[in-house]
Amino acid sequence: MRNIHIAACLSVIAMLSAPASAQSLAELDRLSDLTANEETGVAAAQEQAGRGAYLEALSTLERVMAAFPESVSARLLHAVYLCRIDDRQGGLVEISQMDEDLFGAANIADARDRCSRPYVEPQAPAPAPVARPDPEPIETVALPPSTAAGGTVSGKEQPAPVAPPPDAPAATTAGTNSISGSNAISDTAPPRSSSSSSSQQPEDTSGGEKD
Amino acid sequence: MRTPNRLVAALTATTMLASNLAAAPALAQQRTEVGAASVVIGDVEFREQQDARARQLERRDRIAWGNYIASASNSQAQLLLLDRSTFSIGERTRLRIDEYVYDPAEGRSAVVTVLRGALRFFSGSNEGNNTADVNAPAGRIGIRGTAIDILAGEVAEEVGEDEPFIDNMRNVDSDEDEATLVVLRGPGAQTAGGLTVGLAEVTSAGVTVVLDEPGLAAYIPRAGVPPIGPFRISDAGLVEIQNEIQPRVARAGGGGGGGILGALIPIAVGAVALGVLLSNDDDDNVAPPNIDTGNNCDRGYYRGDNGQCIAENPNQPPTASVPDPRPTAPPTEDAETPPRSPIG
Repeated sequence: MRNIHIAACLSVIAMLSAPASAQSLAELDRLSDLTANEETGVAAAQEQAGRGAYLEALSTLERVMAAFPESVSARLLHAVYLCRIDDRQGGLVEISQMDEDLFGAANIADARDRCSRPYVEPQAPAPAPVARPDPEPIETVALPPSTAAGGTVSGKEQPAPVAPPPDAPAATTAGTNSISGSNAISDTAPPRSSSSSSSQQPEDTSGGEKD
Repeated sequence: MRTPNRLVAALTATTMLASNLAAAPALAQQRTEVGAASVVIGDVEFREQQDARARQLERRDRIAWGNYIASASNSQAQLLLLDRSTFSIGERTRLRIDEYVYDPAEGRSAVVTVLRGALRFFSGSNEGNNTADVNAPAGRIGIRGTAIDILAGEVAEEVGEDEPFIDNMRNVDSDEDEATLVVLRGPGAQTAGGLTVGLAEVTSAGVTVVLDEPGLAAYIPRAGVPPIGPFRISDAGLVEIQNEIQPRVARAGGGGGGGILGALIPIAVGAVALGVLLSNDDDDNVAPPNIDTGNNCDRGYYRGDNGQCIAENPNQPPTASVPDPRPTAPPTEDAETPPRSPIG
């Protein structure tokens, strides 16, 4: 009896939802059309990420990467977006697969750096710094340099700390970040697929692709 | 009082059954379409039912309940479902869509069966109560708000038994048809975008292993034995999984020379700048973008969207520098000059 009810309900749902589904299916086509072109696909992923839909953005990029496996933009963004969803190990592994000659050493370093520190949600543009009135002389207390402004000693004036991420690492260096405490991510360990990847013949792009 | 109620219930059930049966042929013809093929690369077979005649899957093909999809070597596809969840199907993979119900207000439930190969699931809409279950040869995976990778069969055995955690157990007897490897990819507790933190429950032989952090994995060697885990997947294991799910990217190279990218080097380096790519959602309030256009700005400047060099925020505290792994130039007469950081 219960199964009958469930089946009936599902049938009704399916029928009632048909028009909406048709509309949504058209929307799905529109999304997949976007990724039939590398540039529009990457732009779509950027738009999705811009509104926080990172899983959707990753899916979009994977469509782009499937159709355009040589897409540097898609692969860079895919790695960084993995880190954005806190899969830093996955992101760093993808970065470790990137050839400096193809992706640019600075891009790779930048991506690795972004993956190695907690992401800070973008905030509204900060207002232009306004010069604070000089403090009252009586409040000026001579402090040892090492204790001023959070103890930073750089030889230059440092701004007052502005809401740093609560768990931001003191310093981020390639290869020293750890995932969930126990497993250190090695940027230098050669992946197993390197040899197979390097031994692959240039891909025959003449066949197979359907879209 | 109970008899009329029973009668009403029976009549209702009969009516609904009759309606359902009457509607069944129409529904069978109409199909319950739940998504579309959003990308298809290579040879990917598509059947309405498992025993039906197969045909090549094409992009924009509609996906419905009961559909059976099988990919060949160096082939892949992605199914985009109504709630914008996706199943990425790797090479040599067989998958069946068992059930999918989506109500934008209530959420989504999906049940699929992966018979072998590599599967990646990305959850779509964050609204409502969203669940998905994946039946694998040796167990069942319940997933919530998740990015997850699943390997089944021979490839799971290969990758799973190469994992140091599994290898150290020594007496793991895997079945090449039933082995199942599950890796949670996210979102983790520190995810951006306020996404639901991912969770997967891997169940076999009455035992459930919970994966609740990105990178945690569970391995079921064969049907009838409990899952092993959770353990942290190795970097090498992740590479193997990625290569199964994105075989074309693996073949394109980027990890050691060769491949079709070789001819694109000059274009590739000059064509992209990560800082610009990320300008839409960037965290540049923490660090300035780094541009590698082959013509970097001087230290203290970065390249803007229009290519101009822009002074960094003078109030920007110095960020960690990552050493440039490129071979350094031979020392010159100016060797006392400190090396320039690649971070502009």
